[in-house]
Amino acid sequence: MCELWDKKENIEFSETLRINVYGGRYEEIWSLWYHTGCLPSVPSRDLCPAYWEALRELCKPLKLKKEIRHRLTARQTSSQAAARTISGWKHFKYTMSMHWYKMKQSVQDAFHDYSLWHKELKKVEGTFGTGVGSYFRFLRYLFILNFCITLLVCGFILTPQLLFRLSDENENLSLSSQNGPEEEIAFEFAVSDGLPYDRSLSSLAYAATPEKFGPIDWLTGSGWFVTTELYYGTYHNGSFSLASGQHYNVAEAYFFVIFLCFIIYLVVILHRVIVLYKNNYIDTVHDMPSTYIKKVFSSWDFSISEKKAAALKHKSIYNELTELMQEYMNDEVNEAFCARVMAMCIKLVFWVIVLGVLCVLGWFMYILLDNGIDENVGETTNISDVSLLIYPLIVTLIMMVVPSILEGIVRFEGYRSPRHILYVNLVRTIMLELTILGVLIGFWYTREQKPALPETTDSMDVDVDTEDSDSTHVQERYCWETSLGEEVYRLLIIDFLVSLLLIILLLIFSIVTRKKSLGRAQQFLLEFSISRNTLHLIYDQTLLWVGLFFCPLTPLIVLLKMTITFYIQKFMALRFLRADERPWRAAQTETVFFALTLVSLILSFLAYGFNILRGHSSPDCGPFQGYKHYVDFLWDLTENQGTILAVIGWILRPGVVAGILGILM
Amino acid sequence: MGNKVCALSEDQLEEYQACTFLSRKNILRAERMFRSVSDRGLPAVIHPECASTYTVPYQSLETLTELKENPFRRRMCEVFSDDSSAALTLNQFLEMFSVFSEHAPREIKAAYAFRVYDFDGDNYTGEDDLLHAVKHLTHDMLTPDEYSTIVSKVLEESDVDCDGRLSQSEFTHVILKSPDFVPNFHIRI
Repeated sequence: MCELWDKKENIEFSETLRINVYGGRYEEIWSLWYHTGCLPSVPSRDLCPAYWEALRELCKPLKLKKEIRHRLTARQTSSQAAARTISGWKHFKYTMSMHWYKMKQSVQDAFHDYSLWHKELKKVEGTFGTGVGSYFRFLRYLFILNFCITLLVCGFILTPQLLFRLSDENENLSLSSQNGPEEEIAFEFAVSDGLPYDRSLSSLAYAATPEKFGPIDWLTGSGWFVTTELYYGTYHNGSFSLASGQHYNVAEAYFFVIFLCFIIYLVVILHRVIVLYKNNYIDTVHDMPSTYIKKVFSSWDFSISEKKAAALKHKSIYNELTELMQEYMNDEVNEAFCARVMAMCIKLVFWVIVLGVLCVLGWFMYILLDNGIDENVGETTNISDVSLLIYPLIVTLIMMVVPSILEGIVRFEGYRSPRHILYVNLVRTIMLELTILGVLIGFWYTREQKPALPETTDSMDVDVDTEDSDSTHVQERYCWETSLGEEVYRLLIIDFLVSLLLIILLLIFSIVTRKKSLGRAQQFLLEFSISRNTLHLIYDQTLLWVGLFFCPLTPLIVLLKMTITFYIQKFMALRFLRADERPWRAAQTETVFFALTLVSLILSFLAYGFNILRGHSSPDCGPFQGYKHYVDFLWDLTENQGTILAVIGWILRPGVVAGILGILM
Repeated sequence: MGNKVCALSEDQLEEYQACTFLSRKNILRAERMFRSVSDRGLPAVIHPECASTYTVPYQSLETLTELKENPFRRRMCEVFSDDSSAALTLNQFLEMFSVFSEHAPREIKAAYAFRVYDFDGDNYTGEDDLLHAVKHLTHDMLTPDEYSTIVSKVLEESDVDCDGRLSQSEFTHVILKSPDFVPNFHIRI
């Protein structure tokens, strides 16, 4: 056991420690080691990481572990002979592995130990337990992720665009006053080739006639906002010169930064899902039933620290145990085959009904969008009109009401275990959300694919009915990306306002009924429903992903929304709401929530991919004007750069992808 | 940190990081918690000998927010203390929170959970221990008949060698199959 040189033998030694910790031989080995001082010599100043792991996992008092560590490190410094008899290569290898290990530890510490909102989370967890705590931690995780993405977007897309605007406005102001409408139309045909002095129509348009900020503009996201950097349409489509002859290509930056954002989201969330799955997945299929053991030994939530919560938990454990004992008395009856088939039929019928309702909803949404556009002035949504808010209001109401209805229905379907009920509910709500968003994107996508694209000047699809001057007439023509961005903005804002309204109503309701006893409906309202809130969060995040390309400041809006939501929900939860009395399986549901987020992300990513490959870019607005398809921009970029193509090809090879995934795990 | 006096030296912090599952921030937070329940006798700078000799009695420990509502707090402190006095030194205090931290592997948690539930300290979880545990959990709300039913059901489910009590390996084997065990056996500092 002593004088171990090889890394392999070092690991075997650690394994010996580990295997014998819980066996009988541990005491023997350990005491031999400790008392005789027969310690394995180590080839480098520091022990290799396997030792440290084994040391930490020793089931012995801290004092002894410190003593062991002290002995091991002391032994090295005194035995100079150890260093001499090991080859330089091995020494180097061990030192490197130790440094790598320490670096990994410090990175893990930095990434997993956030101080943001630590005290608030602790208070909430103490009052409600791990289940509600996991919702707030999910919120914080998304907040930090979105914050990093916002910094990226603001730094690399927004700031250069603002700089460009500033430098350009001065020159444009003099230019536009000379141009008549013919000149502007002639510009339409100019294909941007990335030269610094290229003028895009959007910059002309807004420089000439800035829209005034109307009273409901902040609600509808139209009007003044269309001329700002909030939307895709105002971004410059070429490069411009920063100081000292450096050129910054806004279009390239736009494309690559958004792509990078998605990759970051994908990598981070995928990593989290894999880690959670690894930690929480337990194969219980082949085991004996162990319900009582679980209730007795793993039902107390050690993070509870408030009196009321503790009393509630005691009560709930009492209820569970009495329920278990009653079930045991009643004994399960083996269901007849017919009864089982009947049960399955009922479930199938309900699924069909739900799917049917979803299809009807989707169709209804499509009709609504269609009518909304026709009622509006022309095909543009530049005018701030209250009628623009109808669609978002209806969508928000659907997203508030329908999940609760689904939750109610699921209880009648005869699912046995609460976990199945939860999963079915989650899947249906996610399908609802995807239907609505899918219809929205599909609608705008198919609209702009229609043959009546304004590629000629005399296309009379534009039904202008505005008093604005001619230059904005050009701007208004068919910037479908901006319109989609506006829809996403409106959905976010209206959703936020409606939830604020509901919270205020709930506040009033809870103050009024404070002293009175609670009936069932009241109990339902005053419960903090983790699944409903988490699904709402996933919905917001999906809106962010859908809108990221069309409205680059969506992360910022969602960030603000999340901050306000956190504080308000925390306040409401601590003061007025009660915890769910039914037991909440925190570990596995956390994995499920992250997995659902991942699914939404992948679907949005695929939708974007499809759009990039097949979608038509607007000819007069945004960074990709002049290209028929978005993907043409990419080909343009890489036609002279074989190296980039080669690098991309190499990265996408299966071996490299597998390697990256391996490191992640 | 400026001019503020740090209670633990860099070496001590590194040592604690190597021997426990706590991160640096958590070690410092735990030290502050320890300070908040100890009386004036704790020096501003804690030397290694002080960390292993200065004890805080159980009456002060159980006033900590993290422990005060826990039905098993007495037993937890007893497990980590030297004798059964349930008084802890800083080292033992850190060790306790290390086991309950989220980075501690599940086998460690299971091993210490076994010790916590072994109320009489005989290395087996017998009927008395189980009864004790259930009483703590339900605040004595059940009838004696119900208690004995529960205890017998638990033994039925997990006692493999049928000796009327659970050994460490039986306990570990069963408890690790429960998906709620690890998230619940967790105290956030």
